[in-house]
Amino acid sequence: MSERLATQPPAPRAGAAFAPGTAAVMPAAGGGGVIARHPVWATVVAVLILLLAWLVFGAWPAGLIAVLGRKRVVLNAVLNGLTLGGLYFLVASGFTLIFGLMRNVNLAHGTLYLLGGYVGYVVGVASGSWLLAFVAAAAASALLGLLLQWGVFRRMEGEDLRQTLVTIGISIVVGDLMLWVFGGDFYQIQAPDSLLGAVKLPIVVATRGDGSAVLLTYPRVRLVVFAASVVIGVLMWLALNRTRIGMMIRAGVDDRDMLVAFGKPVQLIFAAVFAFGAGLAGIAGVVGGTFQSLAPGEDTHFLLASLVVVIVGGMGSIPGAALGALLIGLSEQVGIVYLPTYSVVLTFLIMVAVLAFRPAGLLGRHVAPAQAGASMALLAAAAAARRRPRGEPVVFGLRAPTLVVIAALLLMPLVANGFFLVQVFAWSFVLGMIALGLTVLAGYGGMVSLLQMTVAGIAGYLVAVFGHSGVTTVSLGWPWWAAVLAAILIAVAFGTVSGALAVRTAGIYTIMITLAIASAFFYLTLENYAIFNGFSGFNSVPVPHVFGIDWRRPVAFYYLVLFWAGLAYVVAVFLRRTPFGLALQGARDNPRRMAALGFNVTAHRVAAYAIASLIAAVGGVLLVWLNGEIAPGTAGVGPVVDILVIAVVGGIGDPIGAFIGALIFVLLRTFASDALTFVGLNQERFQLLIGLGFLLIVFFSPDGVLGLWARWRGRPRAAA
Amino acid sequence: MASVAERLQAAGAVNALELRGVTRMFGALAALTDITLSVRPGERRAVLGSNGAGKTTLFNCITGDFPPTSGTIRFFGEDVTDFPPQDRIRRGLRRTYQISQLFAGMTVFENIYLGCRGVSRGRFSMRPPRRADALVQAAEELLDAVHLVPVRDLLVAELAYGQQRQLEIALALAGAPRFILFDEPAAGLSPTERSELLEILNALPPHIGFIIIEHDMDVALRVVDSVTMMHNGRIFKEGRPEEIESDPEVQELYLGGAHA
Ligand SMILES: Nc1ncnc2c1ncn2[C@@H]1O[C@H](COP(=O)(O)OP(=O)(O)OP(=O)(O)O)[C@@H](O)[C@H]1O
Ligand SMILES: [Mg+2]
Repeated sequence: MSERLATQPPAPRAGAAFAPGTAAVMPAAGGGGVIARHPVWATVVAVLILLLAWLVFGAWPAGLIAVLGRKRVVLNAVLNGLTLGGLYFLVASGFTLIFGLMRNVNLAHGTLYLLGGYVGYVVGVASGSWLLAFVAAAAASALLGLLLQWGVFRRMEGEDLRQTLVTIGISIVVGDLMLWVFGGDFYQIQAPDSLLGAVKLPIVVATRGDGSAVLLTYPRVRLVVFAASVVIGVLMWLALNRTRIGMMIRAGVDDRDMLVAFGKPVQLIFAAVFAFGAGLAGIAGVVGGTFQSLAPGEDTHFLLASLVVVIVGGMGSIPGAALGALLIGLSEQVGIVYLPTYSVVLTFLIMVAVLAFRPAGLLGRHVAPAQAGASMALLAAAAAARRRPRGEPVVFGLRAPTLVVIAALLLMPLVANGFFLVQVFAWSFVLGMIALGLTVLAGYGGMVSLLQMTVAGIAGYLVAVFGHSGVTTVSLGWPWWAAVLAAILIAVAFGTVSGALAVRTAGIYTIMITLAIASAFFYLTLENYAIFNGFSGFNSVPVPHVFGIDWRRPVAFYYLVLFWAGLAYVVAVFLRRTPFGLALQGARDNPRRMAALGFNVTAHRVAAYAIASLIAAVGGVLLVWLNGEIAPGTAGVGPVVDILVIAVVGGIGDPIGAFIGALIFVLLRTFASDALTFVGLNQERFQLLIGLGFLLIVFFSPDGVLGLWARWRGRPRAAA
Repeated sequence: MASVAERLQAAGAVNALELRGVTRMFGALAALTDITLSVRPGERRAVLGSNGAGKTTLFNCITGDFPPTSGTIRFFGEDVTDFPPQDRIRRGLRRTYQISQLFAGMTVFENIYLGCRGVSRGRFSMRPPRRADALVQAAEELLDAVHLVPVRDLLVAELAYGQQRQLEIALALAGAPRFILFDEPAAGLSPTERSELLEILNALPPHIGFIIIEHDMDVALRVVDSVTMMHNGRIFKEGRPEEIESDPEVQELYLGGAHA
């Protein structure tokens, strides 16, 4: 036996080493005979092309019109979808390029878009030149991009979660600054006269009574811009695939050390790519300002569009961004025709299907979860700061400070008035609960989910839908307990299923995916009237009378919320010591080892989403009772991010952090206006304050206020 | 329905591990090429080979950390090629890592408790562990077996290197292992720690087989019945320890290389 084995080593290796090379060469060599080699597919494609051509150029029979609608409407929607896709591509390609090369998730990308748009508007108006607007926009956004790359991404190399949090903070701050300067108005950038007006396309949409044909007309500027984005896309692709610099960038995507090996200044290439991607976003801002309009909120809109496009198309892939942009643009515009008020659902379903079947995106390459998991160092550090017994007096297993806090909370109604009880404390507890779920997910499980407010929002909405509200046309009028039960069940189911989608990838992707899902829900509530009553939402949602108590009265409501928040807190603390909680923490720190110990890491993560969703859903029910109303803004992108801000500012290392963060947030929200007026600022600058505070915390104390406190006391809790 | 042959196999004469044509690619690099290997239950084997020979990759394929690109893997007769790691572990496979994979932010006891929990039921249990639990008892015994009782409540990050290696081994002994893969358990240990390790390995019940990757021939050959030599992702020699040791080709390729 050893004889036979001994003769083996060197000879076959050479052959094996060459095998992949030969395989790679073959298809290229035989490229001419595609039709000959795939006759069936070639036929199918040919038939499809002919069918498409007929649909576009032919006259539609009545039967088809009955099914699809009038040809002009349909083609218009398709053209709108294509051109919108072009715009999405401009924004998303920069995002994906930056992500692909540097693994930087820049959640301020939408800010770059809106900044470019505003700068373009100002320059366009001042100079009267549309082209100059582009140049200025590209320059401004590229400059901000460079600042981001230099000030954030380079400084926090390898800490992608922290980078992402900082970019969220920056987008809040810059967004508010832009609101300050430009106000809430809509701005439209004027295209030059030569591009105004409509073109007649050689497409017959109908025949007049006299037999003459009606041609499809379409705004010229949109067609031009679409053509420009195609050109830009093709140029980018060529630059990446056919030039030396492009090859180096692509090599860098696979392996950074490669770039160093080329002897090129890596940082210079990174900065250049970042500036280019940011500049593209600025250009897109001018485009968007020309054929849509610029307003606050468009930054978030385009950030989210980029996220969805990139998730669908494949993270880091330029062709993927093109495909994703077209798909999403088409689904939005065609959706408006066929599924008015549900078109977001279509986009959402596309995203869900992609995540379920191709988590890396249609044209993306698979990213090993282990690699992504390593990025969670920040959270691990925050969560590793663990509380240990300190040898202080203990009563019923509780230490003195805890007892004082409990007593103070219980006696609060003796000293605080109704406003404080409800608008300060109850509100803090509710927000704290919702954020607490995130502490469980992120602190114990290492998953930074932005779904918490959405789950709460769903529960809140459904209480109004199933139960009672001022909108009697929609509300079903079920008894309160049935409505609450159903609302919580559905919200938890939603949170769990979304979690199951989110855990198919890991690390930084979780933020992107959950943000995309959360925003889909927001836009759905905004445009859907049948279930969510659209823009106005529901008012006069009553708090039930149970056990002869009117729970709407401040003292009663305070205790109600205190009870549930306290329960949620105890559960979260208790969870940490249970086998489930330990396993979750293990999965956070080392998923690979957990699997090698016999744990199904994915199942634990999904279960964590279920628990977090349950906490959020209960919080959501309390929230709708607290406010007596719910509208799209309740679970809008702002509040969704606020929950993350609350959890991080309080400190993810300990469940109490969520409540501390919430209390700070609510106090700021309630009293900041006075303080702001005092220093001579408009009270609307609240977001600025929140954003700056968040930035400070993320920059200087990743483990939040709790961490600051621990350091101030001079004993980090990690020490035994 | 199971064929007669399969049932016969299940009844006895079945290998603990059976690899057929296992190949693992990393991009264009073949880390393992066409590995065919069988190990009897209770057999103790050493895998030797120079750096980058593919030894760790072999382990990763067996445990499913990195599933093979092609080929099949049977564990006690069952085809586990497409199983996720946890399902292999629950069937009695265990491993240690060349670079310790521990939970640095948890205590030693919590690490071992997780190891015991992972291969028993109640992985989702919401009941905090108590002293009297059978599983806690098992964890305490394991702690004792690897001489870590004095550091029971320290965070793993606070342990000395040798203690971390011992904990790594403890994790592989949790529950009722049937077959264990040790990836260079002795590397970096002091002579005393080494002999403690050998003691632990020799004290394993005879039905538990293992494969040990070890650069130090003296350590390896004292605990194994057979040796597999790997080079460039292939097996090039198998035999009894003394055969391997005296083989001129091995001397030249491996020992010579290692000492040079
Ligand atoms: N995750 C991975 N990605 C890419 N290549 C890998 C990976 N793991 C191993 N390799 C490559 O596969 C080959 C075999 O590596 P392996 O770790 O199995 O060797 P080894 O025999 O364990 O070496 P050592 O004695 O240094 O531990 C090496 O060339 C290594 O670079
Ligand atoms: Mg190795």
